[in-house]
Amino acid sequence: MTTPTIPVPARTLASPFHWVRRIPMYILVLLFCIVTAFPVYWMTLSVFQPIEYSLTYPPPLFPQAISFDVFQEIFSGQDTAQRVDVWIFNSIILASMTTVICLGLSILGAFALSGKRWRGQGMFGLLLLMTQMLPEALIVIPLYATIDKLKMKDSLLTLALVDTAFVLPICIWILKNVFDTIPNEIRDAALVDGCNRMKMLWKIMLPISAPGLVAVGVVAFFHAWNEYLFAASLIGNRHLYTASVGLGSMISMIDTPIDKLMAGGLMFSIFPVIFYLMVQRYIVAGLSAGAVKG
Amino acid sequence: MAAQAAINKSASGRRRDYLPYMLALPIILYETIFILIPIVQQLVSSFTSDMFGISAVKWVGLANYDRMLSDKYFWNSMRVTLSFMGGTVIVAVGAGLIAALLMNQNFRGRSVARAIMTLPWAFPDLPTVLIFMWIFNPSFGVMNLFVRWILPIEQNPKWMMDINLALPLVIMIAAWKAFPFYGLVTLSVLQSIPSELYEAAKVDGATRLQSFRYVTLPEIIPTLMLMGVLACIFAFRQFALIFLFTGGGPARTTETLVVAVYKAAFNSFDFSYGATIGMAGFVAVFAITLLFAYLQRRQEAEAAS
Amino acid sequence: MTKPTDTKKTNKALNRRDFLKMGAAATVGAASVAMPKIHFPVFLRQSKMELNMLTWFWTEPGRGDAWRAMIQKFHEAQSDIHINEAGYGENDYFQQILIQAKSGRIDGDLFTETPDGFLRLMNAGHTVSLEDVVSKAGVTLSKAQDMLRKDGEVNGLDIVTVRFGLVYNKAMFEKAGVTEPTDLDNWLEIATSLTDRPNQFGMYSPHLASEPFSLWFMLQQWAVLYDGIWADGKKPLLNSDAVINGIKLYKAMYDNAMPQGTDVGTANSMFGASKIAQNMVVSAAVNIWKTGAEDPEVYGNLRSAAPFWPGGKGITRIHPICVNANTEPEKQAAAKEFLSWLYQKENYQQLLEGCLDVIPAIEGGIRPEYRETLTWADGYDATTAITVPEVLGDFVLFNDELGQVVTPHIEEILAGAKSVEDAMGEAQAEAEALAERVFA
Repeated sequence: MTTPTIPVPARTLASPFHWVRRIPMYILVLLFCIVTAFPVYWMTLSVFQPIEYSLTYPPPLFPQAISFDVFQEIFSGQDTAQRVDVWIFNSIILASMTTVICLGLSILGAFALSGKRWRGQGMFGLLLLMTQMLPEALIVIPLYATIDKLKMKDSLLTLALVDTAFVLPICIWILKNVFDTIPNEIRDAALVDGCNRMKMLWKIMLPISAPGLVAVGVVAFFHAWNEYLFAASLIGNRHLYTASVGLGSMISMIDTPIDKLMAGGLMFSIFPVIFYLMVQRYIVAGLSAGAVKG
Repeated sequence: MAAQAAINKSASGRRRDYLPYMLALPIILYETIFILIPIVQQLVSSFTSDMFGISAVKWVGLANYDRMLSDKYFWNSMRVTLSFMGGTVIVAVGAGLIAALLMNQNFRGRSVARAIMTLPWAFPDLPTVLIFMWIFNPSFGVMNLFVRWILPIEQNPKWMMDINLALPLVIMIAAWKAFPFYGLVTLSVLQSIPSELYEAAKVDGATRLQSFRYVTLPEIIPTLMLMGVLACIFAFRQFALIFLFTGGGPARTTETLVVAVYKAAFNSFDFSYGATIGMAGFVAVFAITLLFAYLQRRQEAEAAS
Repeated sequence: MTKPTDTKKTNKALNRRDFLKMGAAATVGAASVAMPKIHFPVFLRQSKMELNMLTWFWTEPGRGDAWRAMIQKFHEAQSDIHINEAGYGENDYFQQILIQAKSGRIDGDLFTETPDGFLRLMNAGHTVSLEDVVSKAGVTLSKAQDMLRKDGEVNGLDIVTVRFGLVYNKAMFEKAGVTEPTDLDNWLEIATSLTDRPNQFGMYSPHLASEPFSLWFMLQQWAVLYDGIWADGKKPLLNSDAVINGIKLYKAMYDNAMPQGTDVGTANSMFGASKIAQNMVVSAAVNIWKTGAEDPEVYGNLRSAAPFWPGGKGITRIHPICVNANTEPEKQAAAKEFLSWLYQKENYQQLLEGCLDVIPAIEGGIRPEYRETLTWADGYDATTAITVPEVLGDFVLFNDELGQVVTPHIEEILAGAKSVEDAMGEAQAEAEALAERVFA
């Protein structure tokens, strides 16, 4: 984490005599870090200090006392359907399934869009763009009706399929741009060597595009982890609640104290954050979308 | 282009190439089942009157659209949506650009700073709302403390309960969560700009600002445009964050089209009217996207000539 | 914060396989009852009738545990019917049931509803007559349940009636040397005198735009405080004197005595920590402070104010449980079987006590010994009931729509952007337009 993963162009290295000129930059970096980190710090603080400190004004900026009681409560409720660990387990399953399905389909889609133009390619791109633009609230009723008729309700797999539909277009777009950065010579060489195109995709393009695949995986994972509207309507079985629905049910409970809510929120956030920090180094390389125009 | 055509020719000869179709087919089927069919059902629904539990579904033609056009709250939602879109696009893409320029500098602790600066991207919507509701609580929120350090005010601001503050606040929060993504994308482009370009600019005696203007900017403008489109789409679809934070209020000042759709369908049980607003919103955002795409293509053509 | 322990939770620990089984059983359930000789795979050979009960109670403090205890008792009393928990949190429940009903069928065998939601579902044909249940249980329904009837037959059985009222913390009143308010002006004075921002607040009532349902729900009572109603038949009364006065009082309380910008959950925590002295709540809400309060003394100090407002009325809401009209007849029969058991007097009393409820649905539904233990209930009891249809007129079927019209204007008023008269004048015009549309 401490070594830069991407070589920095020489031009960004300022002359050592001009470090003073860099002070505004440090201030800006610090400012950004405070703006992004403070809310997270504040949430953590509200979780670990007894609730009475949070309900005073002015609130203390640093912890006055530490208490772990709230975790006892959210992890060991008697009602197993109302436990944060159960929700998170379901969310991990859901997000993993979504990631896998989405990766598979976006590889196909990106490969179709990258490379030689074909009749209808524009329409295909437009279709993807269109589906990306539809708000979930607009289709939840008809979709629910269809899924109910198919008896596919109360299944995390169904939910993963639905979530994929909404995140697939952007994933295809990211991956297409990654594929586009692969020089034609490389594809060409593989084809001349007698690979068919699917084999070339599998043996040559995917290994080169590994960071792009990671980026797509992260986008899909976050989407499924985050999604609320479909998760709420398609999962009626309380034992299959995902973390977003579980937390939503906690918010609505008229007796949920703020520390418990914050603890739930913190737990809900920890997994995507850890996941993100783990793969962070690949992301920039993977999102090289703009490297190609359009 | 020519080289690529040659390659493809050598691979598949002159016969029609079916591979792209076979690759695209599963995706088309998939999106048809999960999105297109439901949306067509909604389109049909927008031509009916459907008050659940009150009267049977009946065909009303364009009556819903008629009602919508004279509904001042629909136009309010349209305005709010555009303000929200414009606001988040400017703030999130702008902050993303600045963050990317910062992250592209070489300094001690750069990777740690990068991790911290992009952290909000990993934060789910619900906890984000929870944190900010608490920080901006008019009675106990820590933001009151900070504001009163800086501004000479006697009373805590009303934050999300203030008709003038609510929308800017929602924009800020949406941008807080969204800017890291745009920052990371921009960073990836910045890092792909050949350093020779900067060296050449330096030789020509360009200042840092000039080299940004004449080297960096032309390289990243297409990306910024694309992200503008994406940010518009994401902002248009933004629901949970707004709905949980303000519920569209106070006094409908944060009621975007998506919130209005949801409220019409699920709070007023007027499904057909919800579908109508949704369709109109969809058409509007589609038009905006096409406009962006057109501008981008023209800009590309200019760059090419 | 510990929830009351209820002895055995064996049924709760359903694992995933049980649920797969359940789903499969649901599909072939009807067939297997009709033709018991058919050879099903081993895991499907189940004689138990599995019923799903949809409700938001499962996550409600106190009430959820009370219901679990009753269902446990039912499971011990017989072995043919097994009841499973299903449903959503309170925030989402009504929308989700609606999505389900809208797509043709509510996905459960039993479901609970609000009074207004129930009327809609009954109109749309999602409920069945429960007359046979009532006669089998051998009880007499209270008059209030007449609103649950369709063609004279009761389609839902009340399982919790709540009444609106003012709950206060006796200890805080005594410390400040004040007593129960004598009239509305006096009430405002008391609430203001109890407020010492930012540490102590004299009053709370929901006011956040992000909680429009809570806001509208509670706001209805503020007009009743001036002996007013919100609509008469098809005519909305949003700018009538009573409504305007009620909202003015609400705004004055908001300005002088409420923790502004605080959500209901946090306010309830603050009430439980003796930081808020009075709270406009329904009678069922006391469950929150029975076990969960920061200050354990709070529950003992709870009192409800005897009506000091003109007319002395409190909105009374009946929440029924229904049998789904679109489930298999065998399941309907089993669901009625359960309800007949539940509505037997002793069982009903036990449920009422477990839920800390105070308004019985059947004659003799509340034991005097239990009623005596409720120190907080006197004010609620002294309040005269006014039902939702009486408060909202024909708009009872459009409660949420009316709420959608009113709440944005309340937000304008609270923000000081408009006078009460102007804002409610606009609301009235919009409500009239709504009436024209929905009553056409």
